[in-house]
Amino acid sequence: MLTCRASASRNGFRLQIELEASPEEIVAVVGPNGAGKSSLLRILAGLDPVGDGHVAVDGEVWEDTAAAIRRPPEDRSVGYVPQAGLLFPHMSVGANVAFGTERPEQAAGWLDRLGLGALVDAMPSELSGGQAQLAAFARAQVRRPTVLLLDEPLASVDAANRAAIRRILRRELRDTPGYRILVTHDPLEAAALADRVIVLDGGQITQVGTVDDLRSQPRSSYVAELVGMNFFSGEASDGAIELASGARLVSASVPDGPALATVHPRAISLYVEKPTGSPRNVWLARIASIEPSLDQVRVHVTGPIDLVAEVTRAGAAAFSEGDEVWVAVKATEVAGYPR
Amino acid sequence: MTRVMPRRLAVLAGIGLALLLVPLIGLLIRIPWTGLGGDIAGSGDAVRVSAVVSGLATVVAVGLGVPLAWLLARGSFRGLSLLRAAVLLPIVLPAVVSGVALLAALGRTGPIGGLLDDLFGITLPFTTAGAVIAASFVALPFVTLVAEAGFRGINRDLEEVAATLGAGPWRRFRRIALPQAIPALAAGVVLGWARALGEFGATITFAGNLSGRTQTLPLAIFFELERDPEAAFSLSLILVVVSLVVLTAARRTWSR
Repeated sequence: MLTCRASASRNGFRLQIELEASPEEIVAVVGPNGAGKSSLLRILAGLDPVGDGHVAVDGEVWEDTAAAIRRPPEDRSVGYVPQAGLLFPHMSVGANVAFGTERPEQAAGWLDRLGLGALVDAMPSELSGGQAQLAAFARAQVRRPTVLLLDEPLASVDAANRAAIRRILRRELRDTPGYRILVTHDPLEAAALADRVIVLDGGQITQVGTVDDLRSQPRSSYVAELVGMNFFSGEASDGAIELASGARLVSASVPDGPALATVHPRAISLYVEKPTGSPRNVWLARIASIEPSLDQVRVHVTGPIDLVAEVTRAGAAAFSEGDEVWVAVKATEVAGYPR
Repeated sequence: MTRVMPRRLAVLAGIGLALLLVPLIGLLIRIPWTGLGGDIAGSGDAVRVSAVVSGLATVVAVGLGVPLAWLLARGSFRGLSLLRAAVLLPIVLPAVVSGVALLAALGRTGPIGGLLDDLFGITLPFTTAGAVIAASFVALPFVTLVAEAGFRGINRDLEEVAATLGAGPWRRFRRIALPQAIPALAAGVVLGWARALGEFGATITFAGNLSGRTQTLPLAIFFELERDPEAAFSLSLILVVVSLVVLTAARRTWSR
């Protein structure tokens, strides 16, 4: 088991977290910029102090402020892959990978395995973002660390290669024994690479769960936005949620009491004329903005309830920004759960 | 293409260039080219002493200046800025004051010099070793200054990565920081050596003017000027040519 309790202040920013990880899972730490994701990795690696708290791995205490124990990074079995790889610019790729191991002959094998065999003698400046990232990954992995830490592994990879590099990382992470923790701000990356997600916001853990958990029951508007859901918070009674604005949202499935709810953007219908028929939630709103994405169009509506609807390009052609529009949501599409 | 040189800047730059070049041209005009070989051969001792003293002083200044620069660049303790000022002091101090200070401390009646004399029978003033110490004293701040700037310019994140790869402080310095600072260190070596080679005031004050032992080229030139001005011009040419060759070579290496 890996346990970490940290309570650190730095430049007015406070990080206060408690986390556990098991070697059976790949953990993704997600959160907005400045949430403390990289700080957490740096603390685990020993690059920054925990402030007040401890880090222990498999019963070995790496850091404990109460017992005045602090192992420097070089005495921790970590593999740290920083953002953008940070290969040593004055060494060949092969020398980079061999830097941290007593068995430098293994460097070539790792590069081969990651498809970089031909680049052993190349200098880091000759590598693409993705190649540099994989080489940095190999440099950490060749040491067979107990704890593998990846900071935004795909941030410096251009969009065209991202899927390919992500596939390789997914395969490698699954084949790696031990603790694997990665930091990302991309939910797609977290979904593809991790079993469990820790949401960090403002230096605190706000939610922990699988990607499915996050998707079905987000606990903050940040997570809801991350997984692409409309998010509501209010008081539920008799199958309807009363929002802070006073508006009511009928839900087919919400227990009474403080409640949260999500609505998928594609479950929202927009009409020029008042719709007739069964939808329980129908109201008149105004279109704030229309934003095309690749296959759909995202329509932001404001009214008694602000939300985002995703409609087809053909469907969006009937609207323009500033128009009045009828919004309809079926009660079965309003997924309520206790707050 | 746009003009990069405003006219008023060009004029001032031209005057600056003239100030630097006119004395050198004057020197070239006055050199007795026919007797040049004889003059140089006659001062073989000074050339040898200069080579030995400036070479050893460079080794000392780099060997001590690089660690000192690392301390100044990475240290974080009270009094660091005071320490930095103290290290750089010999750059602004007149060399003769440096010589007087060396004499005060390391002279036979000085606190350290007296101790060396009593315990080991070692005397530094007026010896080649003394000349090396004087030259090192004035060269060290230059090496330190340039090396510190070099160490400050390198990417510290790389040292952190090296630490997570199991590298302790020495290995991080040796394998990561030092190679990245090579251009600055090379500049430091050249500057330190140039300062040691041209050293005059501290040397004559602390080590004297003993032919074959402490009389370096600058000292020889100064004393020849009274006796045989033409020989002084010839010897000056040696220093100009050697300095020019080294500076050009160094520039070529850095700008690669």
